[in-house]
Amino acid sequence: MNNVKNISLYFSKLDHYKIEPLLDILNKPDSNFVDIELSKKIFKQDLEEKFEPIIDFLIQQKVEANLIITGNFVQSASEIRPSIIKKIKKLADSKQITIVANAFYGNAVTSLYNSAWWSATVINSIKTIQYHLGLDAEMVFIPQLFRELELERITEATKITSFLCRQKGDRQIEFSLKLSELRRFEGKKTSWINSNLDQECNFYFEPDNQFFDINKLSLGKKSLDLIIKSLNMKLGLASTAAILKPKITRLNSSNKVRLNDSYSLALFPPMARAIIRLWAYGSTVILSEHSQNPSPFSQELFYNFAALQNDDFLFYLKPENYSGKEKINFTSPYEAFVNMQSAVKKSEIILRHKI
Amino acid sequence: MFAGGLGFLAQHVVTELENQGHTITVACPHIPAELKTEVKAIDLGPKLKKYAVEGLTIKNLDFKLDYFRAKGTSQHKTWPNLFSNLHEKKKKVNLYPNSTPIITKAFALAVEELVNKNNFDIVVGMDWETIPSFVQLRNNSKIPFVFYINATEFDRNIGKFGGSARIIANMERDYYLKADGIISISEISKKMLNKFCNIPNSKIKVIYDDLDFTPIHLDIPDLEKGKNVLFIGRMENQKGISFLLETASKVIQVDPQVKFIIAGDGAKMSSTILAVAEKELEKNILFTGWLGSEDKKRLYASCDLFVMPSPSEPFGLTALEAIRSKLPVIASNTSGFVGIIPSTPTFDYYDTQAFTQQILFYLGNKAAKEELLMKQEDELSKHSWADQIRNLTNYLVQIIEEKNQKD
Repeated sequence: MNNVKNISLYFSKLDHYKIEPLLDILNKPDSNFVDIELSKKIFKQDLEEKFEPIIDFLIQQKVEANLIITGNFVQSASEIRPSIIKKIKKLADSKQITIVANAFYGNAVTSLYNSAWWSATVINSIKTIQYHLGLDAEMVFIPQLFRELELERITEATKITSFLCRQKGDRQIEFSLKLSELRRFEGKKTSWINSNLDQECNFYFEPDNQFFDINKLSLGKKSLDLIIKSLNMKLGLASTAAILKPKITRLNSSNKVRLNDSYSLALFPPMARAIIRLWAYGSTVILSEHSQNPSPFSQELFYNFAALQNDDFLFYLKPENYSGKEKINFTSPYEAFVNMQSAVKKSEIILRHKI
Repeated sequence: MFAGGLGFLAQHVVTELENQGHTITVACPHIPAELKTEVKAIDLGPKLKKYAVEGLTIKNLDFKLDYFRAKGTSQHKTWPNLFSNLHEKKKKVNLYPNSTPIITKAFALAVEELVNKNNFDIVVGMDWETIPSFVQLRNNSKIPFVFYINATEFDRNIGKFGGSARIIANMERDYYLKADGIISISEISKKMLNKFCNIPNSKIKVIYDDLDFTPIHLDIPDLEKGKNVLFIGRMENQKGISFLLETASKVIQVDPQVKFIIAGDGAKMSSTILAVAEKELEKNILFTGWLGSEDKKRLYASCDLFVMPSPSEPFGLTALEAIRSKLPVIASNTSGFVGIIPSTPTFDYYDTQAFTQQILFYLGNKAAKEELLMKQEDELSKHSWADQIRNLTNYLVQIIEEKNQKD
């Protein structure tokens, strides 16, 4: 894991949801809940005011970082502001940044409940990064590592065996494990992984204080300029601190690795848990149709629903983000909840009608 | 004459009184500019400005407040409405504006001025907001005064009864009794007035409520009728929203296909949505937010059962809307409309087990559901608003005659 850096930047294209009551959503014919035009307009502004200044800072100050990036970000930025893509390529070519592929729409949360969907969109991201940046992603981002996570779907298709995960606390943790060692069933080792697919994987856990999610840090904030300046200072400090006094724990023995068998929603607040459960439910319903009976219709619904499951949405469900200081398009977390709930309901209805 | 914030009921009563040949003058403390042509009433707003000076007192009225809270602060019952940016409804709603006390007192003086300039036979005040008007008229005039009670403060504050609610409830207890007559909108409401305001039953006349409602039979196909349970109302303790969630949880355990549709918003909206998330009911409970009248009608047409679990519902007009939309209703036994629709299956509002059983029975038994609707429609067809208003006028005439004899 020589190329892993001490700090991580999370770049994603923030989608803006159409805000519509249930009956309005049910009355309209299409299934697109993202306001495509508005999202494009705001992303253009974000590229100029948020992402490019941060990239320029990395270049000027020679700060090294892992860049967790979505396929959607790369694809959209290539269309709107190609200069950013050139700068990212330059940073990657000089090994100043390590490219970490995220699920295409930032929907990494799908890895918790639908690894087929998640891996399909990660692979889509990797191909998009290769197409627009002309380079291979070196790692894949996972929101949680748990024993049931089907990493072989990624390792087999992409040959990538390094994974980056975010965790609470201030220590970085690294370890390597064979996929077969990762698996457990009721606390005991299992051999149900195909031996052809078994290989050693590297896991790297980035602590919160070295993880910078650009959208969450700046989402809705009124004085963006100050936020970006402050963020750049934090980046510089975190980078220097990590170099001068690294807090890295390397676990060498698989026995020392403590991992849950299944994913846990315990760290999410109740409304976020409910939305994740709805996404899990909706994705199972849609994917069951798409996998058995693929059609342009199910394909469209599949991608629209994948775009819905953007982790960024969970930001809108926290009451503390509605203190009045921020500009947020929802009036309350409850409105955001109901909006997403209605959107999931509509997807289910559209699918049922078509069947 | 009517005053207070009970626009729909007042409009409905006045319209029928006029249809029956009576002359009514309606006075309001404020009529928004956009409604001035629509509402046939006298706007006492300009007069209120003249009378509303701080420290205003009315002789024999124990209501010293000018504001419920410190001047400049808002009342406690505010909440952000769902999708408030998309419709004209206010973003935040006050049950009572903070300046309500001073407004009601200034209104009393304006009412007195109006009464002195006209030759009315009787004054009818709606709800507690007209208590200062009653006291002021009683101080200086012999004109009969009757209260028309749509809801008491106790009804509005089930489970939480303090602060301004306590002050208002004390006024209701102290002054309603002194009026020449009391009109309540149901037997349930009559019992509440008897129990909490000590008003003898003989002094209370029940005029069962009603409304103009023309249903539409255009449903929302995507909601797929079959197992949709509808609740329409403010999300408040008074409406039993917490009992509804508890019941929904039990119903869904037995039949996961059942959907509960909650239409409306209110002070309990945030805690209700949070409870839905905590109880893992997000797949089965849907929220529409506030609805316009056409959407409400379409929702009635799209559901299979209407529920009203209110701990205290003086009447419950939505139940009549539901029945007229061919939607059978089950309700708590503390819902006033049951007085005119006695075939309604009822339960104790806190008995979520009985509530659950009734929902499951009627959703699973088409014949029983159709029979229930037939009975409810039949009973409702016998309820005549014109007859109720004739009872009202007879009662008012009786009050006027008794007053004249006494004087």
